[in-house]
Amino acid sequence: MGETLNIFIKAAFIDNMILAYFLGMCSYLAVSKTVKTAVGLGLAVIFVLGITMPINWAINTYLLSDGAIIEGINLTFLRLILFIAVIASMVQLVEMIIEKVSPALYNSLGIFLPLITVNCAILGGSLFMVSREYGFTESVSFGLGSGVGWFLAIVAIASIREKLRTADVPPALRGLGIAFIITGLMGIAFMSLAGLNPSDFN
Amino acid sequence: MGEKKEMNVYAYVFMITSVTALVLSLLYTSLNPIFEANRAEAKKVAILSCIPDSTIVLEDPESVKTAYDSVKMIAITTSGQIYTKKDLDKINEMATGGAKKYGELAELDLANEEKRTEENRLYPVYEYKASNGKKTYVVAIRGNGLWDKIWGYIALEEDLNTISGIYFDHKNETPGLGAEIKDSDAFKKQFIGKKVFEKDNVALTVLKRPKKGEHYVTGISGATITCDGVTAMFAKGMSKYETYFDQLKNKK
Amino acid sequence: MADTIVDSKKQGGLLGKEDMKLLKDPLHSNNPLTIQVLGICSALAVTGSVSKSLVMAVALIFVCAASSLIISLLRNSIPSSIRMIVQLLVIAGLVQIVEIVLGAFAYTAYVELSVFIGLIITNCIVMGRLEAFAMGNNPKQAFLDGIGNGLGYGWILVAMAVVRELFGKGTFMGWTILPTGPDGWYVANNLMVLPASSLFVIGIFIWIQRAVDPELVDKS
Repeated sequence: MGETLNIFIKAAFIDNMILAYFLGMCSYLAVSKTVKTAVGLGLAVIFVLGITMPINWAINTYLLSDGAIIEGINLTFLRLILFIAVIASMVQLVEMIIEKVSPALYNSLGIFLPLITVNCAILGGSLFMVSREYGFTESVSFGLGSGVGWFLAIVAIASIREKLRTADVPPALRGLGIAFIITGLMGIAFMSLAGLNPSDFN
Repeated sequence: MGEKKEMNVYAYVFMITSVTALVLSLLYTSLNPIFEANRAEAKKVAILSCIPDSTIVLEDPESVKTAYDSVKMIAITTSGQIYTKKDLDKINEMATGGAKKYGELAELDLANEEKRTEENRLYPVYEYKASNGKKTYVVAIRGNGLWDKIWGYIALEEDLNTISGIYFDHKNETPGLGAEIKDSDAFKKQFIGKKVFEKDNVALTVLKRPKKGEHYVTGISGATITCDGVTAMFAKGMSKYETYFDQLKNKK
Repeated sequence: MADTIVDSKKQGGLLGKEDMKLLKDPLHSNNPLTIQVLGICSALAVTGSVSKSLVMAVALIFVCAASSLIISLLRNSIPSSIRMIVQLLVIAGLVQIVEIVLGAFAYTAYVELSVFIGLIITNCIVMGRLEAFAMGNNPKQAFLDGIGNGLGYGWILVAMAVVRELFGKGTFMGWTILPTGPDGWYVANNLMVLPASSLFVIGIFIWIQRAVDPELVDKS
């Protein structure tokens, strides 16, 4: 239990998908203009990451690895295609759920809901899970943790950008330029968390 | 513009997935052997990079091959048992805990060995004899860095204590900080001439502040945890070889 | 929001004026990284060294051009309900090819780039160009558009890497330009080696680009 919680905390704060690895930037920059859309997208990302991680783990372990189906058969070259297919289907599912539950949110997110499919953080998360050889519970914990981390980062920058609108930014730096620089500062701030081992506090 | 005649969706998906799968499997089966050969070659280069013999040219595959062919490789356990190439079947029998079996002894890999129980775990020793008769022993160690695993090859002189060469690698350390254990020649050069053991204990330590002594190396500023990981890696990893080293010293 | 269909038959020669526009626009006024804000993730991660960025740029140009070409060839036969899935399948297949080829013929680059090769699939530029252009234009134009956007991304990527590697390590492609270490005079700017610095570098690039060409300033 301790190790699983450890992975969750690390993924959310220390190994933050956006601020430590800079994955998921495109939608992060595009949807962070208001806090409301940021929260909506963030929640959708938590859900997609939490669901696709264990499914991709199962596919990797039981279908693709060396000798998984039959001894000697190695299907790792199909990994990228299968992972992205799982992600695309889950995003489709999330889209349908949000459309039924909250049409207002569905409309305000617009094109960025289907774009979760190509959010680097989702595929990146699954690829990290493979590279770090996580087990099942670890995958779920890692997925949810990364999602929460992504959510926190996007809500943070959305709040900052909302305030920035009334600030005196040089014209050429307005909008995109200043958003990048702020994110860079947040990234450096997050580096102070590097090396914190949550299990040391148990 | 004309009416777009749509093919049956399932037929289309089937067709396009079959074509993709076919192209990929053909490419994979033809190129994978080259990839595996690259991986094996990279491992050889890493081991040879520790050996202080200027006749070995790492960029020249021919030189690498000749040098590696003259390397004698054995595998040992913490209790001092020795296994050679001929004992491959026995080695694979000891593969408990889901560890993979090896096609040949050269594939011995600490990451895989970690899955085995301690009494079945094997550690490699590479013995190299230079043209002037000088012997170098290269051993492998593995540990934890800041973010993920770190590992390395240590070359020892015939006294089985003085370091004559070193190679570090890591899974995911911070570029410019922890990653410098691999990239910084200045950091690695410090190890040459230092002694690993003090009587029967591993004494090699990476310190934050420079300190004079045959067991001390100065760490990388900003990468304290990775460097502490290196110290721990030495302590744990080198202690596995103690029994074997004692045996070797007594034989002489 | 598909770009209007261009007719290159009106111009003579292999590459008409409209075709050249496809190649030139993404280099500056419609740059995928600095204007369209696509493909940021990889730009931040691999720009620590020039050699890594070059490999990534070449890989992206290949995937972007090839996928645009293939999707454009298939555009009239893809059933509309599975449009995105087919696009993803083509992109994923091409990226997998790149990964296999790199592993066999450029092993060092493969090890250095690791996870980021696979992440080309999620590079918004590739998907973005398929939706915006390849689905509605002929193969030759789609191919050129793919190459143009790839080049636009590639040159910014390499420029960022040159800055980061030069000031962060004092080297260019591994060769020492500003000598560091105990014998050198240059104290390496360690900030440039950290991934966070690419955000500053790209922010400054955007600043310079918009200062030079006021048309591009964000007026919102």
